[in-house]
Amino acid sequence: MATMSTLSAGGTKSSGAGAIRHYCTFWVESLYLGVESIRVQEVVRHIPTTRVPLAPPAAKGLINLRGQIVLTVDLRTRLGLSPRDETLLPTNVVVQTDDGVVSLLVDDIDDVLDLDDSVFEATPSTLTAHLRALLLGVCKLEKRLLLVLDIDKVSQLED
Amino acid sequence: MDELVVEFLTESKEMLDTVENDLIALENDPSQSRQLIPAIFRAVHTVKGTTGFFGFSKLESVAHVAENLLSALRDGVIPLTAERSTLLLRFVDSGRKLLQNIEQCGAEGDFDFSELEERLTAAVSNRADGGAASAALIPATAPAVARPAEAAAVFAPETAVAPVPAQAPVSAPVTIEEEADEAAAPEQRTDAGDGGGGARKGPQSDGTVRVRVEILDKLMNLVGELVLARNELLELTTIHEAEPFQATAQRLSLVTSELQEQVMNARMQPIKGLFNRIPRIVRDVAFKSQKLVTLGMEGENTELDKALLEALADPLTHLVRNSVDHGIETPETRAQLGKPLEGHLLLRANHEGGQVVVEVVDDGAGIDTDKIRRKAVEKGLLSAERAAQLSNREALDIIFLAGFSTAKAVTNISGRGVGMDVVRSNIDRIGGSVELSSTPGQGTNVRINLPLTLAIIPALIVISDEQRFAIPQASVLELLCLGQGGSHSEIEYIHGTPVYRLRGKLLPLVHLNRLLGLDKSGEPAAAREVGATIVVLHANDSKFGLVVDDVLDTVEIVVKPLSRQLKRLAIYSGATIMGDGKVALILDVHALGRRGGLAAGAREHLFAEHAGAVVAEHDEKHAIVLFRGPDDARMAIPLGVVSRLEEIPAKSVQTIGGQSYIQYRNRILPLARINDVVVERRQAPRLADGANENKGPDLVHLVVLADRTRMVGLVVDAILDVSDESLAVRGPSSRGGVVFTALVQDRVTEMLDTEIILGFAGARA
Repeated sequence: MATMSTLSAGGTKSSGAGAIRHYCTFWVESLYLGVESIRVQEVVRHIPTTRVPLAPPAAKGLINLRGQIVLTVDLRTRLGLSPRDETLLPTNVVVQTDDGVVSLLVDDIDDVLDLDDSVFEATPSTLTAHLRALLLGVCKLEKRLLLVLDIDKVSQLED
Repeated sequence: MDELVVEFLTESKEMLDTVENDLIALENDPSQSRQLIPAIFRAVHTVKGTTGFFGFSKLESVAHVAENLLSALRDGVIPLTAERSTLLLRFVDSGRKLLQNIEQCGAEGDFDFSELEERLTAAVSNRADGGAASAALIPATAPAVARPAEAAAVFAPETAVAPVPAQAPVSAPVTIEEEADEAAAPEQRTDAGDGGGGARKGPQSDGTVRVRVEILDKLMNLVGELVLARNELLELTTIHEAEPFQATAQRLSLVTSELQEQVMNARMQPIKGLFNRIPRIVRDVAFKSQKLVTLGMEGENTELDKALLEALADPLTHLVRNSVDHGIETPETRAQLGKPLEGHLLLRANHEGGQVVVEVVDDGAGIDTDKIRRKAVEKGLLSAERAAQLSNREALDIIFLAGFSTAKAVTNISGRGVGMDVVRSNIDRIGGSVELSSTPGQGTNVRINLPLTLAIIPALIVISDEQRFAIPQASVLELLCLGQGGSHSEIEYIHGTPVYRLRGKLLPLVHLNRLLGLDKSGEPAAAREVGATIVVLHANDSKFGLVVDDVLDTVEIVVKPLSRQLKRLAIYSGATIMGDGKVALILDVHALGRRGGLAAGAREHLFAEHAGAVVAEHDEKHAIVLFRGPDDARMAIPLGVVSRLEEIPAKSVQTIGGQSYIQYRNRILPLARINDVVVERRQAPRLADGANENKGPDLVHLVVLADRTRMVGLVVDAILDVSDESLAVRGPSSRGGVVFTALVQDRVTEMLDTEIILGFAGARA
């Protein structure tokens, strides 16, 4: 749970090989995911949600974010993963999307990474179509792969 | 966009509005020419100056020729004719088009106004033509004081204008003239600053500043936050009882309320802005349909929220068009009917009990309710029997039905009705209501009731399946607690459809938890209904009960919009933050009704209800309330108009100016006595009345009648029965105030006219 306060300072700087992008990274089940940090408004711990009957399953509910009513999207449901253990309280990654401010429910928050565009690659076509549709691409890190989410698609709740 | 350009756009638009209004005022009352023509000239001159400054050459060039024409008019070289006036109005339209384009794309766009320019130029030179072919609206030399009759005469057709026999002057009422004068005044002020690119000097400092709408919106949002924080704080005061804390919280609460009110005031705009568009519409429609129309306005300074004002624009325009086009008769017809040749259209706005009321009143042909009934039956909207039972008022309501009004045939009725359903749904959407009343041959009155604001509303908080929901208070009619005595206090099922017997009539029910898919308990329905509450709601034209687990309270909530993904669900109208900081959803009552499957049958159901017909369709029985009147007379009224039967202590009745009232559910309920309702054939001495009041019984029996706006308590000697009767054996009316007599339970019973009783509500609440 590091660097929560510096998230909004994201942006793009050019240097040597290509542009450097800042990614806010987090874990959902076994997936290591990232969102460009310029799109992230803030990260907050669990807030009680008000469920919205009849809404698509991924719409977990509404939270009161300092007077602003924000829709929360459970990434587990949205990405078609197994439901979260009820004892595990999710963290809200609040992002700005085409559909307004949306809070993504993730299992655990990780570091902010500065990555050169050269490590970025289109999503491999072998991934399931559902997951592929929600990703912008993949960043090849030394030890693992970072999946970059297309939050505008994610926030649409339905494909 | 550059701030300077924005200011230019706003100012130029206002100028064009002034030009338009002044031109119309001038057509109506040519004697105003000495003040108005120079004012128009100045406004056009300013537009020309500033457009030139910004380099919008098309607008500048067309303004230039318009100015030339105006200059000639001002100097009295040529008279103002209908044709010239029309040309100048066309200039206004073109100017608006250009400004709109500049606003949207930053450039003037490729409009071609050369034809208009040519005609404007020609209009200056064809002095002989204009002067001879048409009598001058304003004599070239000395501005005369033209009487309206003369005005009608001088608006003779010109060669170039469409072949209209007698062009109608839209005579101006006093109010518009004043309006025009006022409008002219600021022109003189800004004139001083023209050419300076919006630099303003002179007596502009009349205590007002221009504030951008976004700032007001932002302020309103912040106040909303503050109200929520205040609500949370007040919740805390119930836990922490320390004296200073309580006092501070109290003060904060007061200041917050005050601030809320002031910010709301700041968003208020006089309805004048909207009303000012109307003269032009009236003029155009009147010209086209060859009518003579006088337009009057009252209460233009009535203020309402900006958002509401915008939402009101279309419906109001529609109603005005309707009135002029279809309501008001042609001068020939009016002459035959012995009416004044000029039809009168009145726009009226005022505040009434926390609401804004806007009325459109005309003295035209009115609406023939019999024709509406016939049409409704033809269209299969109502059975013939029911149609006949409708009161005139209810028949008028049919106009608002979608299936009815979109039909072309409606135009044959009296022309009214096209798009009236749209008017109603637009007004519904902003939490208002529309009512229509009409006297055939004498005119029509459309009344729009609007809330003052949309942002903060009172709402009822209900619980379903442990979750809170807010229902706008405006839609709530009453609350019923289940499981409390009485034989019919249970929910009954017809083929699995829940209904409730509400005062002898079946109320369709919707379970909120089932509707929202929250009911996963699998418990038998009956078990969950013990202790449940029915919230009786009205939406569109139907009435239904919403079954919830519990009802908490009525609170002021701040309406927040939902994100787009959830708007699609179309069942919530927004969300709000409760005192404990959690979010609650606001239910859209109309959508609930639709989702509950009520829409289809409910409308006819409503008419049945109003007419007092029974819900069960197969037997022709009428639900009535039977009671005893003076002299042991048996009387009845349809159950449909009865909202309650009450017994009240006689001493709670207060009489003021011969009219009795009681305090009833937080309102003043006027009382009607049978002797005031029915009129004796033979005027019997009424001495007994006063005496009776003094030595009467301790309890007064009341039948409370209500329609959408009125509520009256009818004082009866005793309530005998509520029952379904066939009313097949009928006799003629026995006396005034009685619709007909019928055999009920083998005794002659007088059916009272409910319209007369409801009339005791006086000025409608």
